[in-house]
Amino acid sequence: MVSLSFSLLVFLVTIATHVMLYQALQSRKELAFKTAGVFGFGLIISVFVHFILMPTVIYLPVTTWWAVPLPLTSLALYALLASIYILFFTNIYWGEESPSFAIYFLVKRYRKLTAAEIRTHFSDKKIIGSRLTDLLNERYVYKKGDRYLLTSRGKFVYSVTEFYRKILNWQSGG
Amino acid sequence: MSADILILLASFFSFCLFLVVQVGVFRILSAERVLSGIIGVFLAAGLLTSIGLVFTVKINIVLVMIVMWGLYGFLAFLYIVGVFGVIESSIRIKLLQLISIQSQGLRYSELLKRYNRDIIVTKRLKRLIGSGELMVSKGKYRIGKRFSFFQVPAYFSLFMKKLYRV
Repeated sequence: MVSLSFSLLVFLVTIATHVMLYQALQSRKELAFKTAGVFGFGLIISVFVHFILMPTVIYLPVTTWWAVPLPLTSLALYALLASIYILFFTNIYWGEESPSFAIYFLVKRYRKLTAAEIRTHFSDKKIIGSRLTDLLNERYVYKKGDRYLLTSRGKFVYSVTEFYRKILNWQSGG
Repeated sequence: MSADILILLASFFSFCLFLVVQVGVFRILSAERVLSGIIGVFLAAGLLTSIGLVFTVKINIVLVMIVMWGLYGFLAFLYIVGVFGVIESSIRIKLLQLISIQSQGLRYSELLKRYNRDIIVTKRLKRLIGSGELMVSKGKYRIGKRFSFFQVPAYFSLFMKKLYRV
């Protein structure tokens, strides 16, 4: 449990560092996204703490349950927490608002809403147009005249998701 | 075997079991029931592993069990939000799918005929009703549950927006 607490501490310090770095570089968008790399430094610090510092410097009575050494589990915990955090950060960075979350918070705010009232809070331009532009900018699709087509990158991503869908025997999502 | 290795193996085993059971269950489950279905699969795989641990682990069983559930929970959460959620409900993936169907490409106006705001909102309302997050009576939608798994990523996203002032 002591090992896990160290991992949590390193994770929290990394988040604080990341927030400060991001806010300092917010005006430079590309650079601001790269601040997520700070979680890699957090991983290096975790390795140092669990494999060098704790076994040699910090004495813990291993007979007690809270002092059982868990270096690999602690590293895995840090890696998982950092991955989840980066995933959420990526979403908010790209301005991705999940329509499901948006609907949920709308209903929570107004208490009772009809489907038509909910729809008025969304537009095709915001919900489809902006994502299509992103796909174009990220080279998943390209434009030929006024028609959109998939690039090889787009085809690859689509075929991976289709494979997953076939395994689960699912119809189209979205 | 050390507690460290045991926890890692048990968490990984639970997650693999979760994936296998999920494939089986989701082949027969309707799209509206996915959220409640995946939580059921998560609990079932974790419980099966826990039963196995009770019969095999002699020391530090409480520690192994607690940490195993924590690690397994984060693994499953990462998969649900990062892989499953994206493939199940990503609008971008749906756009790729619609564009791929037409070998000569798709105009924006054609795209909107097949997939638009109304379809997206209707699908999500069905899912939110199916998972119990929302309730509908006399055509009006309101909050269904006080607490649910869905609220964890929803509130975490909100928290991060405030934290990063996005």
